[in-house]
Amino acid sequence: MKVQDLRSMLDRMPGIRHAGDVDLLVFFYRHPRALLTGEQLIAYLGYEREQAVKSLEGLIEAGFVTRSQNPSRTARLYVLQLDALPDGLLSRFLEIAAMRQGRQDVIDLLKPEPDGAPAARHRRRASIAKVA
Amino acid sequence: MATLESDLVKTGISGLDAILSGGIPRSNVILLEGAIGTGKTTMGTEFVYRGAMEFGEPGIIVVFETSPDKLARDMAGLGCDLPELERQQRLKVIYTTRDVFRQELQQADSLLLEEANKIGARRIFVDGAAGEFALEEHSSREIFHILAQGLQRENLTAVLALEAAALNTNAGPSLHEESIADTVIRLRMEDSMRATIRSIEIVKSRGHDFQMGRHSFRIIDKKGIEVYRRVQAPRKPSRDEAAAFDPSTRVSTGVPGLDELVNGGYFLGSTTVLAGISGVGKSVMALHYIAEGARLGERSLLLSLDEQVPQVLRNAASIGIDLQPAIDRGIVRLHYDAPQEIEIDHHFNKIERMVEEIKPRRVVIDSLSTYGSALGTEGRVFRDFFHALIDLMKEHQIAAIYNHENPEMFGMSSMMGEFAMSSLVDNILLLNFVELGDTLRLALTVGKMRSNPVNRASRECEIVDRQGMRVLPRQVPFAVAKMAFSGYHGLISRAPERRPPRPEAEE
Repeated sequence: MKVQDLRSMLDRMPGIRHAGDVDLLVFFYRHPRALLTGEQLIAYLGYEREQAVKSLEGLIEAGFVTRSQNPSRTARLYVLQLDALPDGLLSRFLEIAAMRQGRQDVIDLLKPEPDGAPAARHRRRASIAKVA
Repeated sequence: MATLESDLVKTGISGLDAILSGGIPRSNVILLEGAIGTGKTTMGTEFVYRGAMEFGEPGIIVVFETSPDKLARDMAGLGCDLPELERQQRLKVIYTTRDVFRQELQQADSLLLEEANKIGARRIFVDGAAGEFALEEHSSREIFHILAQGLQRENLTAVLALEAAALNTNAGPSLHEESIADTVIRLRMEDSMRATIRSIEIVKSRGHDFQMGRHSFRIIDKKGIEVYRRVQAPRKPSRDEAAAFDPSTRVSTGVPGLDELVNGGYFLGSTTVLAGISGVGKSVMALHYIAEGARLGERSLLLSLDEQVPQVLRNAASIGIDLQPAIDRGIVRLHYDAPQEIEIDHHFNKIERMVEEIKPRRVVIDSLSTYGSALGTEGRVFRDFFHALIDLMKEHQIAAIYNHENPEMFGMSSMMGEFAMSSLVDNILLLNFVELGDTLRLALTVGKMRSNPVNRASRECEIVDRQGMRVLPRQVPFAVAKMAFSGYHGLISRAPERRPPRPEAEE
């Protein structure tokens, strides 16, 4: 897939801002119905706790993943919502991101520029906003 | 108390319900034991898959080590589309850890069981559920008991896979989970010569009958698991009841001159062995038998272990027999199976299926000796296989011919050589080389014909290019230069001698 197409796809996906978001989403793609504790999830993800929690909350907020509501229990059931976006967009994105090269391409698009400028995927959007 | 058939949960796995006498009593906790690679995950998953697909029973699969996407990929290779069932809300695959799972089953409001309830699950497979929960026997028993209780409360028929490395050997203590489980199924990889065979054994199953012993199974691409009942296991009663031949209908041999020696042909349901050394004409005689069936419009099956189908067709053409039109019409089936590493349960299952499908009146097995060399003649396996084969043919009232290579070039010291099974056979025809002068001539003697008068005079046969075999008349015209067999005695001994001229009064 061309980088422009991937960028366009990412532009339509709220909640995907960091490599950790991608990796957590891919984890749920591979384990679409996971009954786990938060600690186990963090351990599987391999990111700092803070980032892992942020990614998880971001995915839930975006509607990509649901979490069972029983705070008294340590384990929660996480269910991937593949139809969270129209036209099978989430499925298509995950098919790419689950591959080695696809993941790399997505992460490259999410990386901030060395000078502190927004990530490549946001530059176009920012310039469009400026014009508007 | 016998379990009502409707209370039995059918696994849907090919061949497995037959050895379970119909299925497993509902709500049983089934322990599926085996070492790594024995097929536990495949069997447990297929149990749930078939339940949802074929019996309208939604199910849950719980995995700990395998990621669900890999499970879906692997099962897709076996023809099971798990994601589609998930989309239809007939299946849920849940990934968790053993710690969480154990805690869940101790909760009255278990999330896991709630998920099961949401789709009305009737079956559950837990991959790697037992064995690793606890470090010592007491707590392991207790935890397994809690698990069993939790599943029973939900009325789920549960398969719990347990990895047990020691089970590939015969020895080893029994596992304490076995005493709690209602049904114990053991999978093994068994060494057979230098090959490996998968086997399945129902160790126990409460509440119903089942077929004991080790049966074989295979995992087949696009099909899944196929279980083959061990060849020695008893079949349906009708097979034993039918184990007698029809003493009124005869099947002609197709070899000119032979029918008169066998009283008009072989009885339906009879077992005939053609015995003789290689090259003596057994396969030719068998081809005549098949061709005669085709001529009469009777269905025939030739099962060859020695020659592949194109070779059989070429052999037939060389004696003027064209089997292709009959094959095209579907009344003749030629089937070749490679004798190397023959897996007898699977092989027998294949023959059973062909017989049930084709419904032949005539069957030729070429040859018994190849089975002997593949299975070993000294053990029980060959004898049991042959017995099962005979019973199958009798049940279907097939007149079956078995070629058997007797290693003796001249003379015969026994009818079936090292195969001490002539008592199982109804008819034995001995084909033998006879050296007269500088020529090997071909002799045929009826060694045995059960329930028939037997004329044991040796008769000469000949095989003519493009014409095939025929049995020569006993008295040949004087115009023929060579002397007829009736001019000799001791033909099938190693030293035939010419008869002294008979006195005129005897002529």
